[in-house]
Amino acid sequence: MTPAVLNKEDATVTHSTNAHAPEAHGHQGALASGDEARDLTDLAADLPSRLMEVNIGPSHPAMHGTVRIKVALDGESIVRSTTEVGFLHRGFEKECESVHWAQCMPYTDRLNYVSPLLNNFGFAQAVEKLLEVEIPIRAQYIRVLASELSRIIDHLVACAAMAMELGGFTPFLYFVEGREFMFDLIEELTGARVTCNYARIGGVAQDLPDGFAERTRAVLVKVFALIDDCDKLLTRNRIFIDRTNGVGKMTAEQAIAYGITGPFLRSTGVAHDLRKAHPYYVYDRMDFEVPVGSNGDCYDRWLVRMEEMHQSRRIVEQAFAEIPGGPVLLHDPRFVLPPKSEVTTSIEGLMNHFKLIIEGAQIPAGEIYSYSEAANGELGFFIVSDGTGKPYKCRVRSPCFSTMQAIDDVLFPGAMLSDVVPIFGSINMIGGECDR
Amino acid sequence: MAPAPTLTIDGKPVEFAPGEVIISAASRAAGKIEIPHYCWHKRLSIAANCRMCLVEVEKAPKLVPACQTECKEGMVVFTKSDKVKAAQRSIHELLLVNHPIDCPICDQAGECKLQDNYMLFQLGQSRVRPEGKVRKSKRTPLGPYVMYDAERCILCTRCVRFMDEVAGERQLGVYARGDRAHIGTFPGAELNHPYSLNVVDVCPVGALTSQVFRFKQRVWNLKRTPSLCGGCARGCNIWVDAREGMVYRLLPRENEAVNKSWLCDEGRLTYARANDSRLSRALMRTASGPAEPCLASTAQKRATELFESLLAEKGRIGAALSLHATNEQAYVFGRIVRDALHAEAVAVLDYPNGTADRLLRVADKNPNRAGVQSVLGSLGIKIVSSEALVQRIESGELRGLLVVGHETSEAGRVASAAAAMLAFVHIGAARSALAERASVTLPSLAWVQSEGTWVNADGVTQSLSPAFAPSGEARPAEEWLQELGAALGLSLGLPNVSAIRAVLERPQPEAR
Repeated sequence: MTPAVLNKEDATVTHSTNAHAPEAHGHQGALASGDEARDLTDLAADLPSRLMEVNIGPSHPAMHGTVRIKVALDGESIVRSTTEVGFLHRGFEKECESVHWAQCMPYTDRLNYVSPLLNNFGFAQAVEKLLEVEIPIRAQYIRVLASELSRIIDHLVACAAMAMELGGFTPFLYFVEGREFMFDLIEELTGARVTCNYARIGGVAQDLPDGFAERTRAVLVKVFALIDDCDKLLTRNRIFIDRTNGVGKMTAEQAIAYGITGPFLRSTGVAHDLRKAHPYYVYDRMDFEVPVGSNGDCYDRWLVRMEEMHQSRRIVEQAFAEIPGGPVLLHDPRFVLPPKSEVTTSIEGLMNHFKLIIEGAQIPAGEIYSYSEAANGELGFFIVSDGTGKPYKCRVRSPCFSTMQAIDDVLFPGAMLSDVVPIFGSINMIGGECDR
Repeated sequence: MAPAPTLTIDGKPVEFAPGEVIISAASRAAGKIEIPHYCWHKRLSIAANCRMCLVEVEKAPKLVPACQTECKEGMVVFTKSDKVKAAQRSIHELLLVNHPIDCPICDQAGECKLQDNYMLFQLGQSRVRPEGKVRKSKRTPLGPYVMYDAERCILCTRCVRFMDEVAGERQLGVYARGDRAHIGTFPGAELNHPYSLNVVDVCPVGALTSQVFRFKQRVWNLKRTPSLCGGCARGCNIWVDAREGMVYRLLPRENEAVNKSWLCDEGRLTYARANDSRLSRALMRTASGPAEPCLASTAQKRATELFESLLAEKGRIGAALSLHATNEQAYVFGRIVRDALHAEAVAVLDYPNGTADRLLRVADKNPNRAGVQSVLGSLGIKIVSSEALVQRIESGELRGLLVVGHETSEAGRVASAAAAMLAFVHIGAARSALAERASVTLPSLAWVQSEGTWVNADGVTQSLSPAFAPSGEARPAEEWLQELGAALGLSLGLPNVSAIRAVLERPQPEAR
């Protein structure tokens, strides 16, 4: 089912071959196809007509992070759609090639800017994998709990946007207020709300502040109170269900064929989560469940994300309970900046600092693919080192990019124009991550 | 012929010459085995005092210094074994025990062997507190050009050995012993040898630094270009370190045949000439007014007009070329002067002879006398003395003058003599007396911006490379000359230096 290029000269409407025909909505949809000799005296036949082309985006309130979708409509049904991504392409991969390894970290914040910590950790993990070093155990716990906090924030945004675009402004504000509370925590931990730059090759930048666990628990109580409120407002809401149930369906086979991962894949029934399938850090010590849907529609994706937030909270609680003491950053002069006290009081520390800053950490030549479960799915970093202080190649495998492929083939054709909103909201495309 | 003797280093067979030491053989091994060292220098005697080059030799009871141990047939050497690595860590730590925490204020940062070797061979933490370090004298001028910092010195004695063995005058020595040892000059004497700045090159740390370069630039900001020194006819090979159109220093470039690894102070300090009042705009002068900037195209037109008016009578135009000109510039100059301007009074302008020595310096302080004379001679141009040229100007016999290049001590004299001339055209790179007095001045490139060749006192042709691009309307002299020639009816059609070189390398056509 390859989408045809929209043809302005289309004089006839061709029958949609999409399995998810709009009949479910009680609408006849496309006209009969291919009859070359149409009897114009047949008063019962429809008038010849053209598809209406509507351009959605790139600047559009529902197009999170700029994407352009050209839809060809037959009435209100989408016959064809053409998605254009790349409006937020900033050359992340190329930029990384001209800076040192450690200098790539702030760039990763700007990938999935809704959950920047997950990107930080993903990149650091890739370099550590290439170096074949393991970060201290305390750093692993911190990365796990910071990842889960970031995941909660990401899902808050995804659910908030979906709700608002369907008309529910209140849940949006509730979720965003929850996000504000979480930002206070993140700011306390990393120094910034969004541009965290928290990971370092070899661990994390600084330790948890005193009392962080207590404050986090208090914040999570408030946040989940808000989530519960929105849950009550929406999950059994007639209008919400009508607009999301059965909309944007995808089967497990289709999802796997497109390389889709994350909540989207799990909503189709595939219980694949990298934290369980290929555990990293201390996820194998954590007790949590992976919510799995069954219908693969927008409603299931909503439910999966809502439940994942609860599971993330469980992980955060366990991490706080089990976190051991110790350093949060490796002490390895080959690629970790020495502690400032050493830099100012010893020539070795100073020379070490000097060479790492001027030349960058000399990562031994080689290539590696490293993956982690980000909020949208498998976030991969394929890095190639040529032995110098700058990456030779830093490729990002973006989870929502794979999902975007499915729009033109599976998700939109056959759907109604108004379904664009819940479907696109449930994809949770983040421009920074999709376009890099 | 007997096969060359071989030893094995890290599993690789390496051929060696009799008497050669391990460290020298290792640098020639396939894949170039780097053995860290401080006191060894391939052109100085062996001191073996830093102990950084210790390597493991099979069947030897202890580690041996690779800089002192001679290669033997069948010797098996390991440079990366655990024992060697442990030794390198310890020795480097010991070298740093009293080293001051100076990197932010040390000129050597970025090209310091201690920094490089720390990352490659030590990677350890210090066990000395800063207040426990031995304090010595800092920033002590040893002479007019060299600054010494005793705390940074690791007493490798490379500087002492250089002065003794290469410079030939033992102006430096090690004073006191143990913790108090330091480098110094004889009481009442200073390091004033004409080759003193070479000790800054050989010093592996920031102990000896150039006062001229002190604090001017961080070395990683500088762009390095190979070129030639224009201080005398030796044609020493150099590296030009420049940034954004300014030259900051010159360093010797190794050339076994010409200058080995050395440069004289005089030549090193010619870097400043390249920065002096460079011209980027054309100048024009009307009657007795001052030279004012103008568009190059306007200046070119004027120059053409001025010469055209004098061409009716042959021999009214004189010409002069500075001996800094490249062979390619000399060729184009010669063709224009002979075939377009029909000049009969052609002189070369130079700097007077200076000191020569048994090391590098040659008395002729002009880089390309041999080249210019050879090229002009092959074009059949007879060179007159600058005296004769000035006389002919002052007598009124010459009514026009083309001077290419400002690098001469006679700039003032020629400029004054020709100031009254209407058709005085100058192509030069700096705002010299010639540029101030010429009717038209076209801006050309300094030698550091030029591409071309010079022939040195031994007859060796060597190349210059541009270190940075011209600014404003400055262009190579050979381009101005060709356009002038074309405007006067002579089209040479040599678009670049390679094309001119190709002509120079062909047998010359007979003089017309």
